[in-house]
Amino acid sequence: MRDISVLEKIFSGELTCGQKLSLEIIRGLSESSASRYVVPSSSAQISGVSFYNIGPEGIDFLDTFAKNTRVKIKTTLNPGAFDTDNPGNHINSREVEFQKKIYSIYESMGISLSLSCSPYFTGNLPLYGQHISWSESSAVVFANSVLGARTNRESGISALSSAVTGFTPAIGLHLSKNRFSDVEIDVKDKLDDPVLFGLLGAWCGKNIPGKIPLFHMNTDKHVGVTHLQALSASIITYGGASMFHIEDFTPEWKDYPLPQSSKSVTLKDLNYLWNELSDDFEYDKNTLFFTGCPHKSMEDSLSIISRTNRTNFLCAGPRGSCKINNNSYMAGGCLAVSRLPDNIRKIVTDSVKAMFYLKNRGFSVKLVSAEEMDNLK
Amino acid sequence: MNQSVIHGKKIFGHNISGDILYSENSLSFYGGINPETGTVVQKSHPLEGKSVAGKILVIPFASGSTVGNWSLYRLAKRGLAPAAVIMSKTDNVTTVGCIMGNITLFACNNISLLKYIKSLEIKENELFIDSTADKPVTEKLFSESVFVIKVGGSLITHKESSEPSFNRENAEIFASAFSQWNKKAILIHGAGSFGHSVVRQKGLKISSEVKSDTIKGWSELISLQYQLNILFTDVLRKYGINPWPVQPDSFFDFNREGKIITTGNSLLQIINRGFTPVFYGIPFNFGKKTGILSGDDIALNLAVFHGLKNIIHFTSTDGFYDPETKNPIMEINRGNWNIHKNKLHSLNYADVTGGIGGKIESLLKASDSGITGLITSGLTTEKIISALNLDSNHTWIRPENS
Repeated sequence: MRDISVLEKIFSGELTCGQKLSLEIIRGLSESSASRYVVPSSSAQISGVSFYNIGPEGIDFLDTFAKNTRVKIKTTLNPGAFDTDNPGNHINSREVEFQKKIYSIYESMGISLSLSCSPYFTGNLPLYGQHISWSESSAVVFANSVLGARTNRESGISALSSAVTGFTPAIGLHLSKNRFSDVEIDVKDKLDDPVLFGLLGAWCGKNIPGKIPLFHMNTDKHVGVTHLQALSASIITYGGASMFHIEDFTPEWKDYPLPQSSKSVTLKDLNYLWNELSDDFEYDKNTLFFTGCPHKSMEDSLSIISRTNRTNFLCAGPRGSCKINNNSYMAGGCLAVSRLPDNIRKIVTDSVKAMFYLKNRGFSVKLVSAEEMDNLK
Repeated sequence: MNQSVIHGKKIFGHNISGDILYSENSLSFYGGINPETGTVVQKSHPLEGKSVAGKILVIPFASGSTVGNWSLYRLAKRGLAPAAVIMSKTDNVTTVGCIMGNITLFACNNISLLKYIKSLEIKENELFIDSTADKPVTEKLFSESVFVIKVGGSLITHKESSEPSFNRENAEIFASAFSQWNKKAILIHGAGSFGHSVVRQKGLKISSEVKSDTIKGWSELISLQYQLNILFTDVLRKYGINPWPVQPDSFFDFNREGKIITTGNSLLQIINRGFTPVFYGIPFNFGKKTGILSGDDIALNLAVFHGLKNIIHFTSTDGFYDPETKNPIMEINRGNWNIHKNKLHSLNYADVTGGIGGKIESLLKASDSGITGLITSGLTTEKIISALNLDSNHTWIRPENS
């Protein structure tokens, strides 16, 4: 931990607009948490990439910010609104140009255009105990809980400020005392499908909002990365904490005092929630089948799209080094921040997080298990 | 011109004055305000239909999406942003949005004080209000050097006595030490045997309804607190102190959820005229159920409300001891408190009065508002004087990063 005055020493002399603003932001965030300390940050993940979220004003802002400014640490970028190489007929060329402009501004600062919400699959894999500044919420939870790295839920610009300064305020989840679990959650039944882990996250958001759970899992199966991604993505989307622990599994589970209170959850509870959250409808030609929220690894994404026969099946995933001209693959895009063809009103997905955002945007969304999704390809 | 001042903290931006747009409800900057018009569009929000442009927006906290910072920036680019935002609880998204849009951001614990205010001036870490405004606001010119001092019931009464019994000897030790100290303080005393024994004898239960068989007991309990206050303030007077007994319910109230709210505003006058206010805990009715407004609660809420910096709890022990090793603990913070709390829990430590654990919890809360707490012994003049001079090796609960 360093006194915040270290920033003034490092950034003396003439500063770029981006550096000045970054310092203001790190200082402002420390002030608002009554902290005088910062920690060096070793990795950043930037959200605020979709043209639809930041608008033309946002492009002007980033343009000014980026002038002569470069990031000092490993920094990767969230997905944009669509695959700029294969945007689909419903996206006009102006939108594509704007989206490309956003990418080029970020790239000019030295940020890798991984265009994925799962930076740990695209070369940005922090180590246990490292302080990082990530702004993609599902990745924030994954990094804290599964990787044992430390990050608050940053906004895109605060993460960018850390990337430019190399520091982040020593507040919140950077401090051990804020990483204790608050409540033990006894998961009574075996959960096998990843969608059940997604529902478990949503259950936490609704039942223990903001509280860090310590899960006692009743499972003899290996909990896979997809399961952990699903849980990470949904817990924070539905109002839960930015971190969880799993007994005998996640790296920090026994580093802190155990919680005093406990609750239990059964498969029945999760199935009930499934019914409550999901819409039900018949599939037709205007139904979109969507997977890849959060992005799966390049390998898994390729494996999915290589076996699909459906024309209205879409898998979002990282932008790869090889160009994949497959209409089922949305490279470097995200459905939640995208614009869909007008005829699509119904979406089938295996992501509890995607369901939340798409329903908020007025779509009918049916949640299916990962297994069923696989059969729907 | 007569001005009132409210303390807070300017997080970002320049000094500014302007008209207020106040709401008790949280607001989502993304989706809650139309970025093209500056009008609040959040459904059924009290400010729905009003424009935030150029106003000092006062809200408890921001809710909603993490892209709210872009919304604030877009408003600013179009000249439709608020001139300043005042919040009880600032957050990453709003802080970043204000910095991006060059909007002044100010954190203030008690935004409810601004409810009836038309306009104000933000000047560094203070809000200046023209007190000729519609409704009087609190006269908030306390010096931070006023201490909040709680004198435990275990000191000034014989706590284990089955009858109310005043411990005059300890009260005199305190009064004598306090009279040698030349700073200003707000005193609060506990109930000790003037409370607990009566509660037991009369079968009174907290959080229960006042019934015909207990109403007399409650009434007696309240009168006993007045009696103890008279006995204690008499001793203070004997040592040249000029106590001003304060009926606590004239300064506090409970809201519908049973949460304590601080309302009083004339303490300043009492102190400035040379009196020492002396509060005490009392049973308190809220709604149908009974509760206790404890001395510890009063200490916490007075200090936070008035922006004071020191709370001292004088008790009959030298601070807090490790429940297992019995070693004295000089510093409690959230981290080690969790561990000690677990120990207390595992030893089945009967903390019947909310005693030391309750004090520590309330001082941890106080530390979030930048208040330094001390739990120490009030049994000897020497110990009291060194504590008042903030030179004690007993248990400190300091604000983070102090």
